[in-house]
Amino acid sequence: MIVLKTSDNETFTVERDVAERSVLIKNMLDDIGENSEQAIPLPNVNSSVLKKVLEYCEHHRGEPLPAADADTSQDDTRKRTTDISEWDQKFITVDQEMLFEIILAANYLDIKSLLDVGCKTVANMIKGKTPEEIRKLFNIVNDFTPEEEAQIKKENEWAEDR
Amino acid sequence: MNNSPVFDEGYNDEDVSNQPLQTTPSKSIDLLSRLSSAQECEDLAYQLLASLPRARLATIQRRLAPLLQFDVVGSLPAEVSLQIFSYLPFPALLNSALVCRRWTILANDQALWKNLCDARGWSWRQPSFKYPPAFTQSGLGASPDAWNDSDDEGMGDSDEEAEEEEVADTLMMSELDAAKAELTMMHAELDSGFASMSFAGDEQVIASTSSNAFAPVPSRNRVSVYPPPINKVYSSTKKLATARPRAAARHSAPSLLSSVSSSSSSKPNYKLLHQTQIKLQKRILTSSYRLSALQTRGAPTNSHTNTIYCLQLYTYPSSGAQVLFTGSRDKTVREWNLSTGLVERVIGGIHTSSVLSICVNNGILASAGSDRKVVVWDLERNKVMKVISDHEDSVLCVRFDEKRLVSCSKDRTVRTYLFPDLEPQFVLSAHRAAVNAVSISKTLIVSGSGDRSIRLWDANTGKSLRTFENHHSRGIASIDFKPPYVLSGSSDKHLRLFDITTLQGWSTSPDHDTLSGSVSHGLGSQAAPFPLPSSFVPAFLSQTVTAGNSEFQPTGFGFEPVQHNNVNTTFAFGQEGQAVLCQTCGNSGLVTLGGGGRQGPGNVHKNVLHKDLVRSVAFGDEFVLSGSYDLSIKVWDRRTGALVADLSGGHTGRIFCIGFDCTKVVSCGEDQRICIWDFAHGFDTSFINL
Repeated sequence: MIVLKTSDNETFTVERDVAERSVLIKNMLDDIGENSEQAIPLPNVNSSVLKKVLEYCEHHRGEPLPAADADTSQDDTRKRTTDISEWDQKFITVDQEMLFEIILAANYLDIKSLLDVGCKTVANMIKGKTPEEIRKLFNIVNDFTPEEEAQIKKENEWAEDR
Repeated sequence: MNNSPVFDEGYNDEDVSNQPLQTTPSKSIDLLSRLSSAQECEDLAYQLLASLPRARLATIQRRLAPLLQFDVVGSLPAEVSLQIFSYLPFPALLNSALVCRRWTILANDQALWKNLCDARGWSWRQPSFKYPPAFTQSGLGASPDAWNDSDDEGMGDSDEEAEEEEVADTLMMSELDAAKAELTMMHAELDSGFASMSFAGDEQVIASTSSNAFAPVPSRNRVSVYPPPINKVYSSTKKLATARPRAAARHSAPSLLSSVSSSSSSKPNYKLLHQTQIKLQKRILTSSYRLSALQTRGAPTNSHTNTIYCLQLYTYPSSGAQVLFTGSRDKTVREWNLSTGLVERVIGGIHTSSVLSICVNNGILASAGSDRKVVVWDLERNKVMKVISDHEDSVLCVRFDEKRLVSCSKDRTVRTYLFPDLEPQFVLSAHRAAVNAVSISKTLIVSGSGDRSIRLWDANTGKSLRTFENHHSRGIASIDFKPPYVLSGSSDKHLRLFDITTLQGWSTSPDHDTLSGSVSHGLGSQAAPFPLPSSFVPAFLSQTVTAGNSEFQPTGFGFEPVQHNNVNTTFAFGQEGQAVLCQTCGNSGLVTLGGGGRQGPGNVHKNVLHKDLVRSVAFGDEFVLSGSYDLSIKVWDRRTGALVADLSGGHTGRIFCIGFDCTKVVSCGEDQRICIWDFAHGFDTSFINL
């Protein structure tokens, strides 16, 4: 069993193979050795997020981890599909703040599959929306000058009006 | 909490909650600043809220909701933001760039656009303005009396029945003489009725002829008179003069292709590349081209003097310069500079009659003629490498790759030769009539014959693997092959695309169900040994195939696995095809029949079929093309077989050969014209690998 300590000083005791879904934790464990009973500090993750992340790790425990070089070889097939499995879909149905925190945590903890799920979820939120709809969704202020906006529109046009 | 009176005052008043939260910040911030931590604030707020009636809470929740929405993408580390964007199809990426400044920077990231380009096989070419070294012209061209003999026209007995092809010859002769009198391309082109189909009644064009001036043609006309009136129409073309100084200095003829060269781009701009490619596809989908003629009868002076049977676009690997090779009944092969529209080299004096087919690859040109010869030419050293005279009748088609050369003939055989010495390898004789066309891959040869069959051969063993019969109701005139897909054009006026392992595909023939994207396989017993699995790979690998055709050899039937994966992931038929299409062009209306939406989807192939023999077919990434004796070139959606464009009005005689890249279609034929259908007019395409 491994003890993890969050930014808000809560501790979580989890089984090693669950914690090791995180490459960061795995590397730390490799470094400090087997018999250390010290809690592993995770200063960038708070307890509510870690709880959620551990739920994910628990569900996916035992699945093969992507190889270190998978980034390049898998890229092409992975790239174009934003399909998310049913369980993951349900898991990631959270408010924007939690989604943001999960992505940050997955990035920090180096849990590639969770990072993918988070990023795909955001991509799916963007797809098919107009710029104005996207702004509304993410509460973003349009900070372009009219000239800038016109310029980008011009660069971006790919269908000629006929 | 020693200031409770103030606190009570501010929050006990129930009316406050009716005002927007933002209007009372001064008081509340003042208040909150006395609390020691966020935790205390949170606890306090919660206590307060808990004391409110449920209706109030609901109001507050709705009011708070937008505060919980924020720029998730822009707040993440850039590499994570980019990963999010990497899942977006290009239209979503373009919309993202319009959200705010931060998003613009992210969405314009070159790595994102490079990935999108890589996925489509679009690579950046560093623009250069070098031209291939000037070639010394060799050969003497044709003697003018040579074109009156009977000839094969590159097609054997296309249908086991003789076709009368010589009727037009006497007429052509007089037309040629008339045309020879013309001195300029411009005149020859217009006077020989070139533009008449498109310009009937257009007085402006007629005026430009008489005044001998290149008056701009109104851009609403899709067909323009050579040369394209670029400077008048596109202000951005002012760069042209500086970008191509040599061309301008050497030749008075303006650039044939009106692509605009920009000399400023030094770094790859993948967004620009992607945008340009998408725009080119849109141009094709909307039939938005400029038509010009590289040669017409008798002009320019160094041009072919008779029917042009074959052509191929070729890009020199060293210089990146693109040229066009053409082969003619005048016994010569000519190389054209596409920038100047002039003949750069004449390869003559070798064939003693018509050049029916050419193939250019890796600095080598092979030509096949009705003199039964195949001539292999070293383009760099400008000399003959080999003359093969094994066929017993006209050689109708020649193709080669790094490893082998394959030729087919009216003598009903296909012959193969191995590089480097081009020693004879196999004689493939199973066709019962002239073999009109061959196409090759690394391990396979596909041949199409006047006996109406398409045969598949193992290139390494010479074994006949499959025979596809009943795909066409008359002889096969043209073949192109991109494993595992075969595209065939026929004397039955149809073209057909199918997967050799599953027989799935489409046909323009109403006898086949073409709308669903999968053909009905009403094939003869001989031609249906495969159980038509939905996905060809498993069936193929597991070899559940029963050899209904005794000639079929499962062991010799091999593709490289790489090819399989490539084709399978980037190219899908049927239901999947729709999804791919959306990705491709950003809209799903692509498959409407009739090109440019001129005809409703219900109007199935009525006015959109070829009306005569389909003499030339070619595969592209998104589209396939066909050129026909009906004087038209048609562009079809590769996945569905839907007509996307109909190019007509360029030729006054039968079309014998077409070629294309992503920017243009080139065509040649009986009328001695080489037409260029330029879809890139007004675009800078200097960075596109052709």
